[in-house]
Amino acid sequence: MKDYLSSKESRVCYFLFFFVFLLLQTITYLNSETLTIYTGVTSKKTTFLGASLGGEIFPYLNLYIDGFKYLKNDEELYSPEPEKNRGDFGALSINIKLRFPIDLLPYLDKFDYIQPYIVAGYGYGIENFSGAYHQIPDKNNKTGFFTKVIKFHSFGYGIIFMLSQTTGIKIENMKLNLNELERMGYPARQISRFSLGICFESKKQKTLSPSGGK
Amino acid sequence: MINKNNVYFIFILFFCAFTHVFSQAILSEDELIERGKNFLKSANFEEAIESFSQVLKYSLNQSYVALAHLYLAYTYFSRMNQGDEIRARDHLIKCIDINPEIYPDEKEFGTLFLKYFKELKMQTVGIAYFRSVPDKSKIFLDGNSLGITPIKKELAAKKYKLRAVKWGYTPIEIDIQIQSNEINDFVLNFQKERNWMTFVKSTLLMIVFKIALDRL
Repeated sequence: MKDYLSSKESRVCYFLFFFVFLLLQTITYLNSETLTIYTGVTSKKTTFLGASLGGEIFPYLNLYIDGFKYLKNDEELYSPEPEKNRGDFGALSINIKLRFPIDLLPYLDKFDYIQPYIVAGYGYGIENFSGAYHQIPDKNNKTGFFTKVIKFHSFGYGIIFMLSQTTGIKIENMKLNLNELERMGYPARQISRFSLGICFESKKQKTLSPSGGK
Repeated sequence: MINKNNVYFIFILFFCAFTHVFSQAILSEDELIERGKNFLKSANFEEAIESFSQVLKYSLNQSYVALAHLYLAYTYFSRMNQGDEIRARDHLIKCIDINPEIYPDEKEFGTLFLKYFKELKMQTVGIAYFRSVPDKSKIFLDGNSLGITPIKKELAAKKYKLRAVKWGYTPIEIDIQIQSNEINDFVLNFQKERNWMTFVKSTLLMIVFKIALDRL
């Protein structure tokens, strides 16, 4: 079996990547960009690695794209046969993050480096990247990459400790609710993930010139 | 046989001698400054320099340190040996840097020195006005509290890290440069969009996004 996408799926893929690229370009013109690289463990005893890139769309509200992939297979869904293995997971999602401004509270202005937040997201993931898995027909006898893509919603909370103006440490706990993949008969399931990451922020130049004269 | 009374007597003698020597060695900053001024009046420049230098060496009080730099500058200015002009200038700059609002007493210092001081101050100090919108915010420069806006202050001409804080608004942190011999007017606008009301709006927006995402 060939390990390739069909021409229609290829076009959709290219469109998706182009859309993501445009979104990233839009975000770069917003107030600040945040790039985060993280790793962690899931409730399925697997480890993962991920990255996210985003920016502020409204005060205290961030929009970002997140992508992560398992580094270790989920033992419950793992199979030695490539076409049956569902132990892997890789996903791309769009997330909205609401930051809680504790520096607005009286006497806590010095704690603006502590940034707690909540985050909600929506995305798509796949449990196996091999071509053999994609060629398994669904209930409608269709094959391909997109027949195996699973929709999910996520919700979580976290905290960022800014160590400097541009670098910080992020700790996050998130729950992913994977929808059932009806066409393949895969049931809905839930994954909790705990992650630790480093975030890099680009800040705008902050200098003020005097407006007075001699 | 050693007489106990003799031992007590020798001990008391040593104790008195020790405290006498020790008390003479420690002089307060005021006393050192006064001593230096007396030496200066009688043109004993070396002794005056020694007295004022001791204040610099041991004092932790910045106002005394500034005063010591001022008198050292005046001493070198009065002595005018080779290299003294540079020393006088260095000490004056340090004095102004510590306390930009310092001004020598006209009765204590000569006219020429006062003129030199004024010229140097014009080159190294600027007047800064800090205003904020809205008013009554706390201003910190390099971590030190400056007061509540509006503020007018003489500051050494250099770069500072300014932090303005007002409850209900995100603190402002910026770098500023004070220009010498100029009025530096800084207006700090607390971002209207960064307060409790906008946070509530952001929260409502987040709820709307979440509902929309759940429906996808």
